[in-house]
Amino acid sequence: MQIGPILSLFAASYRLIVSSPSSSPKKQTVSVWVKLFVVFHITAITLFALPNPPAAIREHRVEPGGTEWLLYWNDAYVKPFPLISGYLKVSGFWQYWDMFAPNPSHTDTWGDALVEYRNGAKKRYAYPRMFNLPLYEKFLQERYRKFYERAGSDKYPYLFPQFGLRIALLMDDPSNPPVKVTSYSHTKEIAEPGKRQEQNYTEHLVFTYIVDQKDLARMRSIK
Amino acid sequence: MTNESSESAGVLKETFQALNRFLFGYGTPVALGVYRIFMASLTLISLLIMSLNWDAFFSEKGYVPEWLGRIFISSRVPVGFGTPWSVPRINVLSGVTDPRIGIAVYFVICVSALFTALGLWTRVSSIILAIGLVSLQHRNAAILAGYDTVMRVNCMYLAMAPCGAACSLDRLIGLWKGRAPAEPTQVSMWPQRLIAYNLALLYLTTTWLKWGGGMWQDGTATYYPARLAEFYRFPVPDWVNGFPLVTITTYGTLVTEFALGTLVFFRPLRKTILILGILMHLHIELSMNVPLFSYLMISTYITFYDGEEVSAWAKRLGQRFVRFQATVWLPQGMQLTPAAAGFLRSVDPLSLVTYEKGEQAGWSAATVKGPATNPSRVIFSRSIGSWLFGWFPGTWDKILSKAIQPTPQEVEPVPTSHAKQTAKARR
Repeated sequence: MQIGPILSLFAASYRLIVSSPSSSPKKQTVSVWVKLFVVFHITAITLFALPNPPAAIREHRVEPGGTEWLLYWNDAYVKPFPLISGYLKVSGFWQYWDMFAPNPSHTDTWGDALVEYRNGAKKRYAYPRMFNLPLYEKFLQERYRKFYERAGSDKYPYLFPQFGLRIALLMDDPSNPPVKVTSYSHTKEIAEPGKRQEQNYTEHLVFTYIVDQKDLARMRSIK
Repeated sequence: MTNESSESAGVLKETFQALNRFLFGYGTPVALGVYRIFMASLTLISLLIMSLNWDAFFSEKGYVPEWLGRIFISSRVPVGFGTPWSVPRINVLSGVTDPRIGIAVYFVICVSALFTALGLWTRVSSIILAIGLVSLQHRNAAILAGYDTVMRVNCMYLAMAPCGAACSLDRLIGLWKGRAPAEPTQVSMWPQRLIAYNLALLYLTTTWLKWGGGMWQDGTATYYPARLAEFYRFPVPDWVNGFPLVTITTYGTLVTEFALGTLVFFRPLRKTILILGILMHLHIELSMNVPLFSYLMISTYITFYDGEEVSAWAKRLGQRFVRFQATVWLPQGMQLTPAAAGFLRSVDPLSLVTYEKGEQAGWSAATVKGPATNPSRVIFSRSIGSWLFGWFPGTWDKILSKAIQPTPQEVEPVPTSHAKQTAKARR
């Protein structure tokens, strides 16, 4: 655990930057160090939260134009600057606000998996799907949907083996253990206004995981 | 030419001074106190919900064991400048694979969230909450949504701000023990300004991003999320998600978010813009399953108001509740101790109870309906600041018994020896 140095650093910076209301009730001035910190913090969060340029510009396929130059320059040189990115990433102030932006999602997605056992039997594993849950459960289980945005996406393939292993554990039968997990996502594009909405979902293979029996045994042993 | 340049220098100086006053001026921390109650309470709810899925997302047999969490979000950040060094992210759960330690840390974070909401040992508890929440989010960032970032950033600000200086148990205890001044101590406004600025930044940058999105430009953006089955929440009538309301809500969102990112600091427009923001979030809350997001955002709106404005608003609200106002008479020959007077004023932000000198042997009270039989109950029911602790049987009786002291009798001053000698000489 890296708690010792973190706590002492936090305590020291806290003493430095927090103006205590009880320690100086009459002297209504703010230290120049606090002012410098505030100016630095505002600059850092602003530059870090500025939108990234479109992918085509980031990948140098298109020349930036207009304000895109500012975004390109900020993304390429300012955001990675160690003083800014280091401060924000270490402290937990890192932020990027892209809710429903640049376009809201228009693809409905949910996932499940096919689990194959040693004796050849097959069972479907239903990953929690928000649409099927009652109202209060939707509220409580929403993190499953958020996680599946990543675990069901090709962008994060390193999540697949553990995702498969966890499903194997959930569907485990020690006398007939799972040997293969095939993950599927089911998607439906929302058609543009005025066009006919597709009712059926399309099934896609996300990954196939051959269950490592040693890992499964290790998982079983964890309480 | 010289006049022009000195004029513009003057304007620049004035602007700089105004900005300096706005950011670093002093004011009452009441708005920060109310914000703390909302933010820490919502964080506590989020933490409690997280406990339901702890095994799935934070255990070694879950979807994201510790080693995988470190791949998803690097545990160290390079120092850069050509050096090989790196600094660890704040994460007290880094390297922790023992579930007992994980659960113990989680329990401490929950307690600190509760204490922060109550305003008990606020400085320490808010720092523990901030470190704990950041650690949890750095431990498994694969499950994070926008509202988690809102919560994390705001809890960091809570740890920086003197947010326990008002609307807190710390203050009530301080008042009761005679250690705290009757009015909350003035504090520098920079932590509150940072919170408000960060919120405005959120809205401005998200509007900027949306500006480049085709669906926002053609006025159809809100059409799509409303049709995602995985986001369904409450059933809403078809016209709510049909045209022309889709066009209105799409462009309305852009206008509202832009205003929340810029014009909200202009006082004459502030109230209107914040009402539009509340309506926008209520629409999201009603139609989409994004837990806590709208509540978190709306709670932060209070930081656009100064503490003096919040206190004045509470007083005005209290004046509207004429039928809830009450008078409480102290026992004959008694007066409130200075500490108790401050305490009683502090637990009654709506100023519904008036305390006067009485002529009966014990406490008595009257509401608009007439004399009341139980003065303690009259005070408790109107003092919203005591609702958390005042329901314990006998609490208010104990408070009232210690809240009074005999009124000093008006007696003739005893002459000093010097005065006696002077009087004798005169005679």
